[in-house]
Amino acid sequence: MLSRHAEDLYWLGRYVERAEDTARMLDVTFHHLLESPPAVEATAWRELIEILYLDQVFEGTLDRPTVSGYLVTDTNNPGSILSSVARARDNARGLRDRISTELWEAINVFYLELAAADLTLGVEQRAYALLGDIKSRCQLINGVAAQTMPRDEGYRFIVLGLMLERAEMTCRLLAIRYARLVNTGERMGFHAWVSVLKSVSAYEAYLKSHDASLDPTRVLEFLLLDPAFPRSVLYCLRQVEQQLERLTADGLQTDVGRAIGRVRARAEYCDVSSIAGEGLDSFLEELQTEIYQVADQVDLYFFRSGADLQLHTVQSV
Amino acid sequence: MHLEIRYLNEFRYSEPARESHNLLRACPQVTPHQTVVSYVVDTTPNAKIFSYVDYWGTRVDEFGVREPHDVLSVRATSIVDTTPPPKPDSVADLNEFDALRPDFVTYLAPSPHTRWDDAIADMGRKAIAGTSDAVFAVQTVCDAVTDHLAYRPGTTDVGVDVTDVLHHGQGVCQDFAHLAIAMYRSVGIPARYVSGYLYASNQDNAVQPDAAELEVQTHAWVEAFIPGHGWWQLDPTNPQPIGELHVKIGHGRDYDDVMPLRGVYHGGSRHDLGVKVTITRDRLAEPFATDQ
Repeated sequence: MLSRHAEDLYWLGRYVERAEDTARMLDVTFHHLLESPPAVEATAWRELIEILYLDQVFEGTLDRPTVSGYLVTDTNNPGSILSSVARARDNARGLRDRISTELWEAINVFYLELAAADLTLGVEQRAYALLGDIKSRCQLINGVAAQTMPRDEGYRFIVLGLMLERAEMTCRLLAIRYARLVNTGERMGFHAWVSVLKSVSAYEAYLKSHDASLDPTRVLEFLLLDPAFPRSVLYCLRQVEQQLERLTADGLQTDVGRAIGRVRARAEYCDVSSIAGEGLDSFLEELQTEIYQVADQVDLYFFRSGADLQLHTVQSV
Repeated sequence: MHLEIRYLNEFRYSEPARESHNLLRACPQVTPHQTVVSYVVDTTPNAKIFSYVDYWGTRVDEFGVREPHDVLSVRATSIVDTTPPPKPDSVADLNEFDALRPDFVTYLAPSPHTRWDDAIADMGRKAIAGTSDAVFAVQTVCDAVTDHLAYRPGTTDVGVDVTDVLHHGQGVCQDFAHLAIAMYRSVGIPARYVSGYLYASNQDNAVQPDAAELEVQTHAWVEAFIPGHGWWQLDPTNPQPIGELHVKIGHGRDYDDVMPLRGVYHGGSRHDLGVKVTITRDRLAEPFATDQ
């Protein structure tokens, strides 16, 4: 497979997941604010912007319409939902002969609907429904990909991108919640924990393996380390590792293999009781840094291998 | 003139090279004054050669070497018959060039190696000042380049800017050609770059060699378009008119379109053993004596 195609597939997976997770993060922030005094609103939005590493570029007031507009509809923000879906569609269009018609149509229809809809009004008046639609559209795309793509390199690159993005985004989602807990000393009630779990569709899965008292450490452990829940950080990292193992000819004896091994091991063998609290912030940050390094290595190993090409030229004299 | 041309290009690598992909443009072109009797390419390590004619009419031999190798050598052997092209007898006027513009945009626009500045345009204007005769003007510009530049191999690289060539006043044949082309184009005369072989002992002095066999390198010169005649070949590196000693491979906007060998590879840094072109004249195979 041409590395150009592999790169497009990888980013297709990432963009779709990015759109979905951005919707989830907005959703969890909305839910949180429903039960909070108005005074904390600006803080909550600033945290969201910081978590997405957009605080250097975001220029606007920290209120609901501005921030959510920036994250959903603003095409000047390359990470906004509309931009992500547009890029996913650009990639898919160039890959028409490598993906199924159904997958292309799922992405294309999603983009066209988003582009035609009045998103500003949607965010204002029916944010819950709009974000829900975005999530289910993204899941539709991933579902169609899973049901129509042969399990070859191409599909592996989509899953690789998707899982890497999801691992990063779940870390960020946890960081949003726990930063608040640590910085303000605010006690999170039962409903706040329910909303965290629901924001990653983990409520029922959590209840199946734990009791309903919602112990914060258990919630953290579940979202970080549950081996079976498909949005937990560990599950995502194991998926990334598995895809890389099959994609690299030398197995994991490569820089990219070592990078994923390191971060997966760090998550897998961490001591949850010691990091739940003061240390969590820095732990999540380290985890994210190492996930970036994996992404960098993926980039170098698969997509930039042409960069070390040398030239043959001959001068006529 | 009946010539056998053996082109040999060798690259030696400090560490084995692999995944090498190359394009060779070494085959003499078939023109009214040039007949190609035979042309054979082979490489070490051995590679399958895929050949085609590119947009500019030049034959391209494409080959790839996948396995690791320490040395890559490319050999192209051609046998060619040449006759001297006629000098233009056109009485075209300089202002006829304006009418050519729409059809010759390709050869009038600046290209990466021929991007001229005011100094080059000034020199072009000065060269053609006071004449209205197209053939004379074209010859004058060529002579201006010959006079201005000193031929010094090793002083310039492939990527050198034509403005720097003018500034430093020295270079090799491809710098002479690029400067001439830039000057032609700056005054509105369509001009193109010619890659080829020259059967002469010094690349800047095209007197006929005494020896039958000569070791040379690839050469470059220019073609300017004369209304009522067509493309006229001139060699700014040599003051002599183009005769049967020049064997044309192909033409393009500049060096990039007809470079003899271009390619990419993975692996260690390389040491060029360079290009060696051996030309042998076979007088017995010439049907008519041309120089006796």
